[in-house]
Amino acid sequence: MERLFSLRSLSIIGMGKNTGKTSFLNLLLKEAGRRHPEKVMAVTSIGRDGEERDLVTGTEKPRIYVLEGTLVATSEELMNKCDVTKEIIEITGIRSSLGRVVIFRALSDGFVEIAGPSRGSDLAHIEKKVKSIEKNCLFIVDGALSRMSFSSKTDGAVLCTGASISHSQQQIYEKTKHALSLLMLRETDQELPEAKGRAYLKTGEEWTEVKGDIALSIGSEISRQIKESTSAVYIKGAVTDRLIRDFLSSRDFRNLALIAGDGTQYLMSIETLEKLNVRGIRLEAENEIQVKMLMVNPFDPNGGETDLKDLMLKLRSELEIPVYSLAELKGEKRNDVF
Amino acid sequence: MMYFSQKEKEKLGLKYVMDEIRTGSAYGRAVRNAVAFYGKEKEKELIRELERTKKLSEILPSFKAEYDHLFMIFEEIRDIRNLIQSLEQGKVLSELDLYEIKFFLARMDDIQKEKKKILGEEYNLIPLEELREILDPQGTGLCTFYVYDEYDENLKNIRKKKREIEMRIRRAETEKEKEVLLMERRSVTLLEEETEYLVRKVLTSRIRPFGERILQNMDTLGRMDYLLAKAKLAGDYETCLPEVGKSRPISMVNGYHPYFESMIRERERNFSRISICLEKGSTLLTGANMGGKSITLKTVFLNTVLVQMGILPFAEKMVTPVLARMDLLSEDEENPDRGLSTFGGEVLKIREIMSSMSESPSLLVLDEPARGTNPVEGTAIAGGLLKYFSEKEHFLLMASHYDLKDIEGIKRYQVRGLKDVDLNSQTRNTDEDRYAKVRSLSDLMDYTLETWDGTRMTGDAVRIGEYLGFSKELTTEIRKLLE
Repeated sequence: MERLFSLRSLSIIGMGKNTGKTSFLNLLLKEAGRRHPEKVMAVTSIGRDGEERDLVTGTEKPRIYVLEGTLVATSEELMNKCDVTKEIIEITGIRSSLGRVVIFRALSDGFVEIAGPSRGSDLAHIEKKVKSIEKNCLFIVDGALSRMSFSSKTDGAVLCTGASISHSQQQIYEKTKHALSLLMLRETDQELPEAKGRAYLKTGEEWTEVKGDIALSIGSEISRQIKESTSAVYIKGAVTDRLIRDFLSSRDFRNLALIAGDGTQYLMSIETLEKLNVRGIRLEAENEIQVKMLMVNPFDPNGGETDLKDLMLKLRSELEIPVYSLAELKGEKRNDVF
Repeated sequence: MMYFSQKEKEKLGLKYVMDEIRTGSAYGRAVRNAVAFYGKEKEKELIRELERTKKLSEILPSFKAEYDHLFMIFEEIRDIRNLIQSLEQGKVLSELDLYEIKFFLARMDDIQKEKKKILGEEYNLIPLEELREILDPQGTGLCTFYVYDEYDENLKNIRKKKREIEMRIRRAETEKEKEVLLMERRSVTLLEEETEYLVRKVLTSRIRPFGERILQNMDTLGRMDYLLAKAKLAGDYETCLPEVGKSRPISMVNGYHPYFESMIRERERNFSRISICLEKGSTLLTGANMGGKSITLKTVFLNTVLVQMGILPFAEKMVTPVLARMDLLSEDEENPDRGLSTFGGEVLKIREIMSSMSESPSLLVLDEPARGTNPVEGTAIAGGLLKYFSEKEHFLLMASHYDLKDIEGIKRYQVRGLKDVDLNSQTRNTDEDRYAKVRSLSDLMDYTLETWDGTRMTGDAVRIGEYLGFSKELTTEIRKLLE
């Protein structure tokens, strides 16, 4: 856990609503203050987060509580909802849905609401600005559900899962493992084409572009062009069940590498993944997401706490990354954890 | 005051030139968009502005680093005119507003420092030292802003109390204890917010008296930005300092139109430059189709217009008086909404222009007037216009195909065209792409203007027709008729 603080940037991503992303962020900020008071934290989000009530589910949401000295990048319209004393450092040229993104330093502890940029490229720009203000800060990105792809741009990621995604421990286990296996896909060692095309096939050392509409026709077009000698398929954009169904219709779609931008681009079911396994398809990513830790939230949005002991045991024995429950992190054991 | 509509600006290529004047700031863009004709009353100012632009364009290359830095700052400063104007309406400035003003002040300082090297004591900004002190009570010199403790003793005490609670929150052992403290903190943050508002209100009233001077500085900044951009453009292209003065002709030596030239340069061809001299009265231009008559008219017109606006013309040498009006009428002038024919629209437009021509000289450029009517009357109308203007103090430049050799007292030019070219030796493969043929024809065309006595010239049109693929039989028939 300690090693999260040695990263330059960290993203916090969740498998669904109420998986405890904000609670985890709060714990992280608090522990940073206790253990590394000299280290500056910088917080932003991709998309919006931090409101008192969840905009989607209407349940109470924890708010983000930062300590004095923290850098915050949020939208100008949310500035007056941040009750820290604020020193405005820069108004960036980046626009979010709630106005321009402003960077301020908290001159006191307190609550903040964060809506950072919505585009990955803008996020990189904010990181650069923040680093120019505090070179050695830890840049933390609270990620909205739909924008997990950005996490390949940070040094590390924490994945949050929990009781809110299913009532069955078995289901939580399967879904989480599936998500992790995709997120943590290894970076490909293939040399990828740099052109702007949407899909490419590799035969020998040659990449050939496959033209077509990614949403409509490109799947069947690719499956038509796949030959026995094809060694890799490279897709820019989402790889969905539907697309894979098209590929599977080709007899030659076997024993080859399937490459996408990063693990978040693989939006497919466990069943599809199994079919790919049978065909000997190796999934690879252009950018690897470094998931450093799995956080399990036993709390239900309605207030109950589920006993996830068995789940925790199972995950811990099977995963190479550390697995913690939010209850542990919050409770007295936290000193052993952080 | 005469002005051109957006559509006219586009058609004349004026928009192209204006877009090429690359200002960095919103203030500069505002000045650029508002640029108008100087007019006779401001002749001295116009001459000064042209000379200043010329001088600056000459020294700018030796200040490249300074110019680049200045331009970077121009691009960086944001448009906060609305904010300053809202000061007058009694708005209480927000933290962000106060930051914006402080940021602007800092950039103003940078500009003042940097511009001195290039512009000396011209375009000085009004120093606002007192205002800076208000916004930097700690004297840190930093560009960041918050509602400083120094503004108000009460605010300072509230924050101190808030801090104490926050420290207790950090040490809280139980959730319950923490919750109580957070409630306590909540009431203090509300107090902080209210007090900050009062402080901002006082700050706003202290800043209000500076509003007018800030606006003045924005204006100065804008004019500086525009002048530099104008000088940069003048230096990037071949331009000249024009002679402006009463009772001068409109004369252009080796002039060109930057838009057409840029298009032609893309095709890697040289564009021949245009030299022409219009005396008061009428000038007639004739020449073969595809001979660049329309480009000639637009080039003279654009450059004359630019000078009137204080922008250096695209020519080796340029002379013009200060003009009261400038109009160019070319094809498709009719207004389709009114259901007028080309001819009707043209008549109305000419009438409108002529009725608003004043004592001082104006320039009227007509591209093949009355071409939409029958040749007999068309010739008479074109001739009538030439005759009418030959006695006037205005400048009329007309391109026409009509036979107007009998009109006396006018100046004539013709485009040299294909006169010296042996097209037979050029005839190529008949299957050649017709666009390639048109292109090669325009490559052969000699666009040079020469003075002309009015003798009817024929032959180029038929030769072009032949070259582009009229059959032998057809051209024989045509030639018979011509004789």
